[in-house]
Amino acid sequence: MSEVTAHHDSAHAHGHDDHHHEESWLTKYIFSQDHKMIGKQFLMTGIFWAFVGGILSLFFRMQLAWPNETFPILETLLGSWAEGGKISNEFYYALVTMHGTILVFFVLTAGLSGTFSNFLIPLQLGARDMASPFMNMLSYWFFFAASLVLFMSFFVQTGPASGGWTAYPPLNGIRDIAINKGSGIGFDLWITSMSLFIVGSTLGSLNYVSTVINMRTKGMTFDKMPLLIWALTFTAVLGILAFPALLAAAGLLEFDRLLGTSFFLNNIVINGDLLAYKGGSPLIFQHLFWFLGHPEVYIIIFPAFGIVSEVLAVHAKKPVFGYKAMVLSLGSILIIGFFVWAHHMFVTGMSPAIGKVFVIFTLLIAIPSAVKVFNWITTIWRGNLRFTVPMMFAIGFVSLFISGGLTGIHLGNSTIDIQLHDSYFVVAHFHIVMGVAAFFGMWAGVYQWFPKMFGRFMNETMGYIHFWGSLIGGYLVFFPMHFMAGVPRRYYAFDQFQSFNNFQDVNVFITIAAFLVMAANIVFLINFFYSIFKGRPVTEENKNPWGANTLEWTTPIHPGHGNWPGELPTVYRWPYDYSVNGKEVNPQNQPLEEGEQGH
Amino acid sequence: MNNTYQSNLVSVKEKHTAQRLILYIAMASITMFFAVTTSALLVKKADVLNWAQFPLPSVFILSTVFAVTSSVGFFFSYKCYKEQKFSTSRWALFVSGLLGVAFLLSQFMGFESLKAMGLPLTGNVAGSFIYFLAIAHGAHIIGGLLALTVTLVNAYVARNDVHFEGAGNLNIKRLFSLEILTSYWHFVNVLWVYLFLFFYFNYQ
Ligand code: HEM
Ligand SMILES: [Cu+2]
Repeated sequence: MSEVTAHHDSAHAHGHDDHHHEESWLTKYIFSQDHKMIGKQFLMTGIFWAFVGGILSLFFRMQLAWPNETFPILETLLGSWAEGGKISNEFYYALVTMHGTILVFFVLTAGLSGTFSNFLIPLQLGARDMASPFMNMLSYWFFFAASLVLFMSFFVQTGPASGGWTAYPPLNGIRDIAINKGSGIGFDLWITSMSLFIVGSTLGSLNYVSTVINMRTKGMTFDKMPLLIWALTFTAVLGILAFPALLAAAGLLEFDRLLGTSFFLNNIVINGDLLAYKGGSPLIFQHLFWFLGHPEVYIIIFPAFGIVSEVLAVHAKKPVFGYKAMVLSLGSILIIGFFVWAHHMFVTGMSPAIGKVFVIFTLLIAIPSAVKVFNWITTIWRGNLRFTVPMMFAIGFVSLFISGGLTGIHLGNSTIDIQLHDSYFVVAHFHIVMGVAAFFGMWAGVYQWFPKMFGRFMNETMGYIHFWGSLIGGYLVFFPMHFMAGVPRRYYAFDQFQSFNNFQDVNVFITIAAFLVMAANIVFLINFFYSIFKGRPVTEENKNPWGANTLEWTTPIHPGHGNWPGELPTVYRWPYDYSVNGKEVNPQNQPLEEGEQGH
Repeated sequence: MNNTYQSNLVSVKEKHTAQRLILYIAMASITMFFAVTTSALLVKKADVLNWAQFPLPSVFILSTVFAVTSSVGFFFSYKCYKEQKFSTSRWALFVSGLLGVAFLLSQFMGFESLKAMGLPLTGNVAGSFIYFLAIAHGAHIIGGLLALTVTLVNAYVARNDVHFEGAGNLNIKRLFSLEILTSYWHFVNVLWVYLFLFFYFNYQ
């Protein structure tokens, strides 16, 4: 054994030589293996997709609000998809499908956990980099390739996938553009893109978990880890265990489409012709899809949970309330989250006994969710609140999460869900609890860590405009949808149906509010890019601008690859020693005082 | 602005521990893939009307033999490298690789006998699931064989390395990559044994 170690040392020396290369522009900004740069790459790509996805939603909102009007501008922008200035029904479905896919996977998964896991895990743990920087780089480039493939699908003749972000067969199982144009090559590209995405996301997640377990600095025991790191780790675990189900579903579906198997198809008749598919079951696809799909909503919301926990404590200058309860509730959501998927399938004719099991688990998961909400509120209760922009977004998150979570409890009861399923009530539920809330978590994170990412501040006034526009606009868009509980989702136009047409005014109202949200986010976009180059610089005195205890603020203003120029910091206290020892801020690397009890 | 903190990179040992864990977690992820797919198979099988009854092609027993012996070969190769018997280690690796190729061929023969039984890929779902699972598993074997080829070539090139093998010394980095590859190889072979048993009990 001693011999092994001796040679290990010489191999070690070799290892260093390998790393001695000058950084070129290409390795620094493009094929970077620095987790901080990779985090920024995820963020930039995420922001790009957020705007693409948002613009798509404005297009279909225009159709819903004014189904009989024509807008010449649409023809200019979309060409044959909006002949005569009116979006075609097929393109309408492509728009909603792409909107869902882009927002769920590219923005709120890659853009959110990709950005903050990469940027913050090594920084908050006191690590030089990820366990495998190379795999980390690959993870981004797989995401980039997935992005490129999906983007390309907009430019194929039959258009992008249009069978819903849930990709259900049989509609998506048959490669016949006579049924649905988007079921042609557009959907093959969708599957390709998702598969690349899953590989990338898995490579990233493996790295995050291993980094958290192995690369913590001295003194950073698990009970001293920031809640954000817990949340990001659990997110990664969810992804590692749930994404394979989507990969399996996608693989089986593509076998049906390209090779003619019948995993999900049975006795399909098209225009009077019976197709050869026999014996498959489309419901199995739904099970596989939602076995990922439900954990996926937590993959989206966990990072937001974590960010909000940090931001609230920092800006309230109070220890986070119930640290252990927070970790335990994350853990129990992680586990129970794997046993609720069929609440998306109450109307598929499942046996009521099985339905009941899923009802019970679904209602059970509301308990840890509520624990978290109570803990956030108790954390800021009687705190010394600073209403900075990140703080506003974090508080907004809590509001949205409550509003959207409550409707989840309605939907979780199968008897009620049978009425509400596939109606705008569901759209309201998941857009508030997931869509808008997760965005608020993401924005809170962007405003909070922008100074660390770019060494400059974002403009505050513009930040407040962004906040109020998004909060008011977000509620105005999605709150009215609760009243449309009898209106089915995924309809191209309602003017043919008297009872649905009664909501025409509401639809106009919602669409106008959607433009308000977009306007607020254009303010954000300008602020973001302007501030990267021209924002107020972070100074040496102001290196820890929010007064946070976590380690990322102990790095230089522009940390290089490796993060700390000298020794790695040693951790002595948990991250929430706010307002103790007569000081508001007690960074984690500040030794305990004489007689002080560590947390 | 060249501010890479060179002097502080992580030690090789620490890195290896972390990367070993990456492999183990990746195994969990791959396991999930096969767990959900075999569960889907069971759900489909419960629908007896659409489920063909047929015996599992016996050539899959041969696949299992190849899988197990190939794993043994790998174990031996790793052990020899550790004991600084570098040449034996290379040979064992080579033979294990051949057994891996033989495994793939036997899988292919399994497909042929399914076809002969009237169960082409597009036939009854009961048969399609075997193809799908075997192909998905085979893709992991191919991945392993590619990595094996790289490792073997590296080992051959390094046989006279004056610092390490040539001087009769271990190279910790190469030992580590051999270890990672060996663990992966055992894993995919165990996966096959699982699939084989699963098929064996579900197709009679
Ligand atoms: C408080 C606990 C929650 C409960 C009890 C709950 C329950 C439900 C139920 C029963 C449905 C199915 C409705 C239907 O299709 O008929 C549903 C849909 C959905 N929920 Fe929740 N939910 C909760 C929290 C969340 C959270 C935290 C998120 C995301 C962050 C989320 C995201 C979604 C999504 C994306 C859908 C619908 C997807 C689709 O059909 O396109 N839910 N929820
Ligand atoms: Cu769900």
